[in-house]
Amino acid sequence: MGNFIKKDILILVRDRKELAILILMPFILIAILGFALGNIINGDSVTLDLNFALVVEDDEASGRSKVLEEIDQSQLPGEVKAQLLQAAAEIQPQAMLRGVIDSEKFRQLGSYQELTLEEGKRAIEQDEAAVLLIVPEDYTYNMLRKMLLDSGDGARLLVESSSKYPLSSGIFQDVMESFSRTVSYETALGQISASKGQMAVEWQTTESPVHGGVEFIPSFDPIRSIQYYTFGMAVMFIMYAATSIASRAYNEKENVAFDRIVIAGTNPLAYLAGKAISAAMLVFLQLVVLFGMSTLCFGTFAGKSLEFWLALLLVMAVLAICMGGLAALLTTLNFRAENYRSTQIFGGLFVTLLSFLGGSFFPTSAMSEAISYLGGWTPNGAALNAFVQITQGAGMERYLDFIVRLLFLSGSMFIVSFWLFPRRRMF
Amino acid sequence: MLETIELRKVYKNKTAVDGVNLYLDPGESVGLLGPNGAGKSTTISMISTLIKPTSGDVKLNGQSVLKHPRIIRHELGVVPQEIALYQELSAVENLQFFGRIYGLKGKELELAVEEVLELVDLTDRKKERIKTYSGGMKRRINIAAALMHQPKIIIMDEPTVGIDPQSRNYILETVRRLNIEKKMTVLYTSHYMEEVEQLCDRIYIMDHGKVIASGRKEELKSILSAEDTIVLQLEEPCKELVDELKENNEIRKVDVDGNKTIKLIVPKTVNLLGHLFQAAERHGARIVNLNVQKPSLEDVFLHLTGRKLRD
Ligand SMILES: Nc1ncnc2c1ncn2[C@@H]1O[C@H](COP(=O)(O)OP(=O)(O)OP(=O)(O)O)[C@@H](O)[C@H]1O
Ligand SMILES: [Mg+2]
Repeated sequence: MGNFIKKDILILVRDRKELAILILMPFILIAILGFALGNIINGDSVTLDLNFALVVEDDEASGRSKVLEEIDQSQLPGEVKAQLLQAAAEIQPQAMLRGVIDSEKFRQLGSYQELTLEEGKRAIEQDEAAVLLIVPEDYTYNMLRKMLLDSGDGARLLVESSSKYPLSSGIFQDVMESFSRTVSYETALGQISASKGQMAVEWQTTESPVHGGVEFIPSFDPIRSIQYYTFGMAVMFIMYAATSIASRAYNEKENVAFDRIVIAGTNPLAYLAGKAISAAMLVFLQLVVLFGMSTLCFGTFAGKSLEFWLALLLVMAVLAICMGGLAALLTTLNFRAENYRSTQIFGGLFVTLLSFLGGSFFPTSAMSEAISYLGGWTPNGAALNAFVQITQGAGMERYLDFIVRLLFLSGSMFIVSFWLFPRRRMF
Repeated sequence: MLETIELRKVYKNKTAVDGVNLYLDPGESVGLLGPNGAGKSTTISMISTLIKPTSGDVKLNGQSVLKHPRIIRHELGVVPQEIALYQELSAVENLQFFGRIYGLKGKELELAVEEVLELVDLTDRKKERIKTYSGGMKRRINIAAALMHQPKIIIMDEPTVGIDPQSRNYILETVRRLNIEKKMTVLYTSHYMEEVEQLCDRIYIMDHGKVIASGRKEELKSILSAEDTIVLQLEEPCKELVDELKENNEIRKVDVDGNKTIKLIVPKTVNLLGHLFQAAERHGARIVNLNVQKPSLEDVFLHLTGRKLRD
């Protein structure tokens, strides 16, 4: 058996064109799709219809007066002090944030309503809102203090998202992070001077951003678009690996190498099992390479916990077995029909269709319940769902269902293919 | 040692092999000759248990191969008509693969690879991928792969199709050495008369699924020993002359080759030459050349089927 597997994998790996399809193409697509949606704030073509809630806990007036007091008591020279006091009185952190979420571009992402914390939490729980953006207490205080006195960690925003819209909330996270990176003393002053029509005060500030970043409520991590598309493309392109093994098996029958194998006394079912195992190993390898490359180049899964990786490996293994079943099924269909049609139709049409249903191009949850349900029963869709759940830090109970589906699909494909494979040595 | 008994294979609307009886004695080199579609490959596939005969049996040392396919596995090596190799793998990797499916491993496998590579003289290119090989070299590895398990009987299905004369001679020489030095029993299939004439002791001629003649080379030729082959070359094609010759009952066969060359098979007892010149004159045909030949196997085939081996 090892003999067969070694040969199959060696042959595939030596084919440059094949490698380009199995590794390079998905990798490029990951980069394109991952970044096209991640940098949505710079582009202006995508509409997400994201429904989010804004909760403001920050008390701007008291934050400002605390900072004014600190400046007043500081040891700075009088002139500087006067300038800082003026700046502290004029810079409006909350208004800057609202400036972003009220902007034309941001409105393409979706609309929001302002709620109290309690209302917001409820909206998230009931999936009425996809994301909760919380401006915490001391937001103004922390930002002004960092901006003007360079002390403290800077202001933070809190984002909590609903697990129902993983990709949307991931994009929201990316947008808010890019906002937090661009907010600085200069932008703040620029805003004031623009509104007042006067030159900015000259002042040396630190290079470090005044925003401490965006913090996520740990109950659940949103998935980032680069992560989503790494999974989406991987589960799509492994289907080509299975197809490839199956069509090469038929090559083997065409050029009668298969006859040699049969003449030597190999059981045809052992031959078929060899194909399944080759495909499974190849797919596993492909997943490892794609996830690895994505992490190395884009930091996709950098800093993830051991728990995450173990869960990921489990789903990868089950998915690989399922693709072994798919390869066996396609091999059987080709051998039965004595032509390449099965692999041609599957590779040409079904992979795209299944990828669409399974959500490789965009999450189907945003589209329709029926498609989403159907997609969850495709091997690629089930795996994608499991991967997404794992990345969101969900427990086993949230993705066990998908693993069971994958096993069920594998089992069915194995049974059908072993049952139908031309078993008799002489046909 | 190996024989087929009334072997038949009927496809839906076509009888590919129709009651073939043939046998191989140990150490023999036997030719199986026939034009395209004669049923040679189908016969071989049934012998090697790849396809199931519609009726009839194949016996190895008296035991039915149909009932016990296992017994023929290690005895038999088959060189298929196609290049049944993996193009992306090197010669060594291919040979190792085909050796392992026969259960060879370790040192034994290594030695077998070296030996067959030496036999087909490709040791110095063994690490290169098959797809970089010339057609002739691919054919040689195709043979080598069938020899890995040191079979006693080797069946070759047109091992020289589509290659240059040099590679062809090399392959013929290899087959001869396998037969003489390694004492292998050879069944050699071809539609090249001269290959079979050169290699084989005994010959079967197949056409339309049937064996139409068999025996030692000399025996086959003696079918024609009572006949002469007259080859006649004209300056210009002349249909009237051909028609007249065809109507002549004393002439067994008239075959026109490229309009100007006419081949006649005539019983020795008949003196045709005088008649021939008269007829030519009557139709205004000028004879440029006239040749009375010894019969070849090609002529035997023509005699038996009224057709040529290759068209
Ligand atoms: N699977 C099949 N189904 C139907 N007809 C077949 C099948 N295989 C072979 N035949 C027919 O049986 C006949 C004998 O074919 P075969 O391949 O044995 O001929 P061959 O003597 O090997 O010819 P060649 O010199 O071209 O290799 C042909 O007419 C072929 O069309
Ligand atoms: Mg043939």
